[in-house]
Amino acid sequence: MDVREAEKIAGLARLSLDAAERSRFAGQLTAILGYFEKLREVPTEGVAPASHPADMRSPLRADDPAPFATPLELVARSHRPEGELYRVPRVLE
Amino acid sequence: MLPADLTRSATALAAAVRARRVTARTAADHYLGRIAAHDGAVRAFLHVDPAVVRAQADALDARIARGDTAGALLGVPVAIKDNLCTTGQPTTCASKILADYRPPYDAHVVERIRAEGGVILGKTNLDEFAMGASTENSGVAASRNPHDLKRVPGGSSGGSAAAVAAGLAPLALGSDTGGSVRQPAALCGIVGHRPTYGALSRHGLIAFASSLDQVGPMALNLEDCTLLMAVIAGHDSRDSTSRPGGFDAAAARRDDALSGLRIGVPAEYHSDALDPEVRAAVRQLEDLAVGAGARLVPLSMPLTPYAIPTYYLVVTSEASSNLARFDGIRYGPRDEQQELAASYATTRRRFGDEVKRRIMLGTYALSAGYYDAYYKKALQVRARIGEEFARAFARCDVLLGPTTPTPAFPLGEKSDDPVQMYLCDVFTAPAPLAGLPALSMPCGKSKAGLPIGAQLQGPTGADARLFAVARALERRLALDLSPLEAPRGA
Amino acid sequence: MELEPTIGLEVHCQLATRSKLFCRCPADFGGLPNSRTCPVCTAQPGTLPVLNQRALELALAAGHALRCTIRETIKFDRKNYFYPDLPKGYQISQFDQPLCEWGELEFEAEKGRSKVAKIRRIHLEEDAGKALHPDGLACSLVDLNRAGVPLIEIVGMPDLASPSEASAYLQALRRTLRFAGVSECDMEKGSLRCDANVSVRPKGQPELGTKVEVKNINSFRNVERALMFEIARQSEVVARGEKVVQETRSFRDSEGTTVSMRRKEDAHDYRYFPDPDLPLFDVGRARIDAARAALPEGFAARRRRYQGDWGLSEYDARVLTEEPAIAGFFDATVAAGLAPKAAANWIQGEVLAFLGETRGEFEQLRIAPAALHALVRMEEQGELSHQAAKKVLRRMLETGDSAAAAAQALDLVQIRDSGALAGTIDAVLAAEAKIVGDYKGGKETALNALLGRAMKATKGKGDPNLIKQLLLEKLGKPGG
Ligand SMILES: [Mg+2]
Ligand SMILES: [Zn+2]
Repeated sequence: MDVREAEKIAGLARLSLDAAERSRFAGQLTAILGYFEKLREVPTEGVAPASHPADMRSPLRADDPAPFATPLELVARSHRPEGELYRVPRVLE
Repeated sequence: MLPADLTRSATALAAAVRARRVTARTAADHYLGRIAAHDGAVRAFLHVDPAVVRAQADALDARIARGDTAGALLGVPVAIKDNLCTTGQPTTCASKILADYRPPYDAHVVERIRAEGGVILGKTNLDEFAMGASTENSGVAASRNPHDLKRVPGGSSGGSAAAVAAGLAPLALGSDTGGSVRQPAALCGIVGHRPTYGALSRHGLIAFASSLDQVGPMALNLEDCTLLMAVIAGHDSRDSTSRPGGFDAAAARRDDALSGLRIGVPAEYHSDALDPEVRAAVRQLEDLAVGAGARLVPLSMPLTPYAIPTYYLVVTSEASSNLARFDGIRYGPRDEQQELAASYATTRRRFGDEVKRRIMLGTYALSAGYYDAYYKKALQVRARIGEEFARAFARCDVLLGPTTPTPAFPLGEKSDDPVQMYLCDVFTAPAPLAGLPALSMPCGKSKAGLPIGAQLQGPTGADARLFAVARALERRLALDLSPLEAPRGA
Repeated sequence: MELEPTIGLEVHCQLATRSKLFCRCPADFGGLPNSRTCPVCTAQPGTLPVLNQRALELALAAGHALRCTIRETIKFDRKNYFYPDLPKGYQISQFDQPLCEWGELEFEAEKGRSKVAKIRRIHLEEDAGKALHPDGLACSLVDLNRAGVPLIEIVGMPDLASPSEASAYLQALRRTLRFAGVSECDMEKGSLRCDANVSVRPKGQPELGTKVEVKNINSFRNVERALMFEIARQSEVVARGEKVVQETRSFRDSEGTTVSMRRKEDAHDYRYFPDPDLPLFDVGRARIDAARAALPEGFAARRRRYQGDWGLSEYDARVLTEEPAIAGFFDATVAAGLAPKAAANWIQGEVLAFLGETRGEFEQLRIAPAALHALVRMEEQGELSHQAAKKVLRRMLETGDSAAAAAQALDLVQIRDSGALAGTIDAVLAAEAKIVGDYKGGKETALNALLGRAMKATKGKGDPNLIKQLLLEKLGKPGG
C-alpha cells in the first residue's frame, strides 16, 4: 500500500492522517498485507465463504412496538443539541 | 477485613454473605481498599466509584436483613471490562472517542450479575476497543502484570485478568474476539473461558468484530469460573446470534471427566517457536491427564498457522464498519468545525494508532477491487478451518495445547511491530473463527515465576465439558491459586 | 437521428408495520423529532438488530403480488457510508441475495393497451433519518424518527419507453402494493419514493445509452416532469455531438429541472459485506406459501370479477378499485346482501361524493357496509323516499348513526299507517271543498292537488302512494 492509497483508504474511513502518519501507516500496512499473502497458499476453490460460525440462523421478533422511555434524553446527551434535534456541522453537498 | 479463605474463593464469599458471616459492604470495602492500595501500580481499573460500589453493597445488606438472600453472586464484587455497557458508571472502551460516555442501559451480562446479587465493582482497562494483546493500546495507560510489573498482563482483557490475579476483584468479565480472555488469563495465572459463540448475549458488548466477539468469565479457579458462567450464560432475544439453552453447571462440576477422555494433541501446537518452559508445562498436564485415565490422540491441524491472517482480515473488516458510528454526532466528544467532513476527521483523530490501523486494513480489505482477494478469501479459509476442527472433533473430545507461545513479555517489546503482536494469538485465534468454546487454565510457572496457561478447546456447545476436564486437571495439579498478596517487581 | 428514451424506476416503499425493522420503536409518522428513537436506532454502542417478522411477511406479500421468485434463505448486508442521518455509519440492506427477484407488473401503458414490465429485484432495508438544513442556520439538524423504518426497494428493469409509461407503471405499482396491504404508498408522507434511471439511444440501436440516475422525484406529478426534462436534456447533449455523462442528478421541483449531484467516478465505495450481527435467515417454504395464501385479491382480479361476475360497467369497476378500502367496502356491502349494482351506485354516488366534499379518506368512513345495506332496505320497503334516503345517508356518513337512527333524527320516516293518515286526509278534504268539488266534477288533476295538500299536512312524511290510495278510497272515481 503506497502513501496515495493510504490517503484514499483513510478518506473512505473518515480518518485524517498527517503526512508522517500516512507514510508510517502505509509502511506498516504493507508489511501486514504482505504477511496476509500467506493465505494464498490455502486452496479455497469452490469453498462457500463463512461469514459466521457454521449453522447459525437468525430469529424473528413479533411486530409489537415498545417505545423507549426516554428518547429525548438520548438527544440531550449529544454534543450541543438544538432542542430535540441532533446538531451537526453544516452538510455541504 | 475479609478472612483469607474468602479472598481465595468467590464461591465461599457468596456463601458467607448468604450465611450472614460477612456483609456485602465488608466485601466491597475489602476490594475497594485493595484497589486503593495496589491499583496505582497495576492500573487494572479505568473507573472505580467507591460511592456507587458501597451503595450497591448497602442495598444488598438491607435486602439480606429483610431475610432475602437470593442470588448466586450475593455480595460478590465483579470487575467489568470497560467495553461492556453499565449504567451508573462510564463505559469508554479505553478510547478517547468515548471519553465520559455513559450508556443508557446495562449489558445483558451486567443485568444478569446484578440480578444474582453481584456488585459491579468498576470498569477495567483494555486495549482500545479490545484491539490488542497487551493492554498497551489502551487510550489511557498500559496495565501491568501483577506477577512482574515490568511485563504486560496480556490483552485485550488485561485489566480484568490483572485485577483478579492481584486480588483487586474476586471475579471479572472480559471479552474474547481472538483470545482476549484466554491470553491475559494465561499470562496472569488465572482461569478464563471463551464460550461457544452465542452462548452469552452480546447485547451491551461494544462491538469490535461481531461474528467473533464473546463475553467471557475470568476467575481464580474453575469453581468460581463455573459460578460466574452459570450466571451470565443464557438466551437473550435482543441478540440475533444468541443461542437457546443455558450452561449446564452440574455437568461442569462432574469430576469423572478425565476417564476415557480422548484428548487431541495437534502437532502444530508444539512447533519450534513454542517456548520450552511452556511446552514442558503443557506436556506435564498431558501426563497428568493420561494418569487419570485419558487417552492422547495425536493429530495434525495444518491450517493452524493460517488462522492469524484469516482472523485479522475478518476482524479488521468488521471493525471498520462497527467503528463507523463513532462520529461525534450522537455521543462522545466532538471538536466543533464549520463543516461536516472536517468534523468527522477531527473527531476520529481520537482513535489510537492500532484502531486506525485496523480500520484502514478493514476498509481496504472490503473496498472495491480487493474484496475477493482479502475479505472473501479469508471467509473461505475460515470455512476450511471450521471443517478442520470438525474433523478433529470426530476423533477426540477436547483439544489440549498451550494458550500462548510464551509467558508474559516485557512492556514495549512488541508494541512497535504489529505483526509480532498479532502472532500472540496464534493458538487462540482458530477457535473463534469456528465459534468454538475454549478455556485457559493455569498449568504452572516459568523459572522466573511467570504463569503459564494451557488451553482446552471443544466442539460447539461443549462448554461444560471443558469446565469439567479443566476442573479435574486443576485438582491434580494442586497449584496455589491464591491471589497475589501484592504486585511483584515494581 | 431519432432518439428514444429508456427508463427504469427504483422505488422505495415503507412497509405497513407497527414497529421499526430492527428495533421496537413505533414506525408511525408524527410526534416530536427523535421521539421515536431508542438505543438501537440511534446506534448507541453495544446495541444489536433483531428482525421484525411482519416486515418480512409484507416483503413476501410484495414479492407475490409482483409475481417474483422468492429466496428461501436470505442474508442482510451492510452498505457502508458516512452521513449524519445514518447513525451506524452503515445501512442494513440486502446486496447479492435479495428476498425477491424477477417479477413483473402489468400496467396500462396507454388507454386500452396494457404492457408488462419486468421487476429485477425486491429487497428489504432500513430507512435513514432526516438531515435538515434550515436556512440561516450555520449547522444542520438531524431527526432519527425515520431511522430504521422498514422499506422495500423495488428495482424495475429499464422497460419503460416514455415518461407517461413510467407514470402509469408507478401508479399500477402503487395500487398493487396498496391492494396487497404492503404499504400505504403515500408519496406526500414519503412512504413511497421514486428514483429513475434514464438514458437515450438512437432508435433501433440495441445497446442502451449512458444511464443517468434522477433522484428526489417527490410526487406523481413530478415523475413525468422530471423525466421529460431529463430526456430533453440528454437528447440535446447527443444532438450537440457530445456524450452523456454517467452521474446522479437531482430533480428541482421549483424549476422543473435536474441538476448534477455527483459524478459516478467518485461515487461511494459502499464496501458491502454480510452483516455479522445477522446470520442467515431461513425464510422457509411454509412462510412463503402462507404469505401467498394470505395475499388479498389484487385490483386487476377484482375489476375482472366486478365486470364478469357482477355485470358492472368498466367505468364502475375502475372507480370501485381505485383504492383497496373502496373495493373492500363494496365487497362487504354486497356480502351483507345488497345487490352489486345498487351497492355500486350508492358507493360511487353518495359515499364518494361525500368523501370528495369533505376531503375525507375512505379508511375513516364512519359507516359499516351493513349500515348502507340497512338504509337501502328502508328505501325498498318504502320507509324512505329516494330523496330522503340520500339525506339519511349523508347524516349517517357525518355522524356514524345507524340508518334508523339517522332517519329518526331527521324525522324523515314515511307515515305508512293508514289510521294515522286518515284523520289528516279527512281534514284536508274538509278544508278543500272546492278542489274536492272539481274532482267530483270530473277534473282528474285535482287529485294531485289534494295529494300535495295532504303531503304538506304530513310535512312530507306521508307515504304518497298510500295517501293516493286513501284519497281514491274516500272520493271514488273522478266525476263519480
Ligand atoms: Mg435502497
Ligand atoms: Zn429504535
